[in-house]
Amino acid sequence: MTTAIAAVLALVLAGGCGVKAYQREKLAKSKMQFNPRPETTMLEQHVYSYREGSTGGYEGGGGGCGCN
Amino acid sequence: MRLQLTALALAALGARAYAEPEGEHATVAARTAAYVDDDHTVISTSTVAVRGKPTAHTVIAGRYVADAVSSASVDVISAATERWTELRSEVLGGVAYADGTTTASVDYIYSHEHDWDSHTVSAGASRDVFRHNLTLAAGASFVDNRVGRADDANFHERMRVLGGTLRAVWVGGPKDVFTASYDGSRARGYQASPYRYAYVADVMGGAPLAFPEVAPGERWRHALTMRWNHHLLRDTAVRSHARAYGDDWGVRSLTAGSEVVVGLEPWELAVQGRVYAQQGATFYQDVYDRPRMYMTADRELSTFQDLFVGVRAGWIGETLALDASVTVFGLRFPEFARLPRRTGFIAMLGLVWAL
Repeated sequence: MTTAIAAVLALVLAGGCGVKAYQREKLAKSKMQFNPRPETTMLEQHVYSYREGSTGGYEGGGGGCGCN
Repeated sequence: MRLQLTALALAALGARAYAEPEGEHATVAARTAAYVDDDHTVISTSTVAVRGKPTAHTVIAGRYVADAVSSASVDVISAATERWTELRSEVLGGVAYADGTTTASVDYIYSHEHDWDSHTVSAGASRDVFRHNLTLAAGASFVDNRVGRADDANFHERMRVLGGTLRAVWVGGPKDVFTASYDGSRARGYQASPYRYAYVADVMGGAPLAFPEVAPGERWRHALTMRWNHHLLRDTAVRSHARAYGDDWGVRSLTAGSEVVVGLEPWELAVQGRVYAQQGATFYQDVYDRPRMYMTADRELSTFQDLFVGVRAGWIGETLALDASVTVFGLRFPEFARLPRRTGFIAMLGLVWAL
């Protein structure tokens, strides 16, 4: 875990910290967000969750069994 | 039950999902989807979600989801029952705080089916550091499931899930943003299906004998996920992801995918692909040679692979956005003789209205 945190910090310090506010125009676009359409993500992850044996790592999901 | 496991880690980070409706007072999103596969299963799902910003730093969210499922899949036939149809309803309510640097959220989800009730409570928080170049987030969740059986009023089981999520999001440059996350959970209680039967070979050479499924009462699950969004050309983004998953039932999987999103104002077009490969649980067998302590007929616990490919088109106006998508998929089950392949499609329509 310590190594992972150090790796993340190294990446940030190596590249991201040089990004100024005025350079974030592209990053601010909705297509650059990780979850720009929460309801779509929820429905997609719903399908993956009841069709596969794995879970976690992506936003979405929902409750219920879905055992069909 | 797999769905609750997903819900716990993800709802816990709900603050990131709806924390900032970009200065709008409220947003209403409606979406409907149809799932159809060649295993005689049709699922219609509709959802309405509302996000509002009553104060400068507060977001409230509500969501209703309704599923209508009609199935005569091989599981149903194996259980010697006819095609069944059922409804599932889910309600989410949440509140979040977001001041531009720090977020915190609490969510509650209630889901109801005629034979299944679940309650999910989750909380999450995040903090931007290094001049907003790094976001650190953590969440925790608890899910209480009450499992019944349609034809047995005396069947009552419970399954509880406790989980957590750690996530880092960082800016890699003017065109790159990354996230890495760990999701872990522990499920305790009834984790089989009350409707499925595992098969044991008849030593006399007759038809296999059916036994109720028995799954371990505990399951630890772990997922490591990396995602990378890269902006290129004038208005195009490539969104990629990969996940490694493992649990103490012996399931191991790798997931990878990518989506290319092209902006042609006011239109947005996207094409995406996703592959998944899974090694099955150690106790899974298509037909058991003799009765075992744990036996399952859940093909989603077998070794299998799947592929999803889809296209999406969207129109984005000042206060209204519309989109439609179609995804085709195929699953290959080399260890499940009753259904070696499954194919189908998912069609989706969505609307977002900013007030």
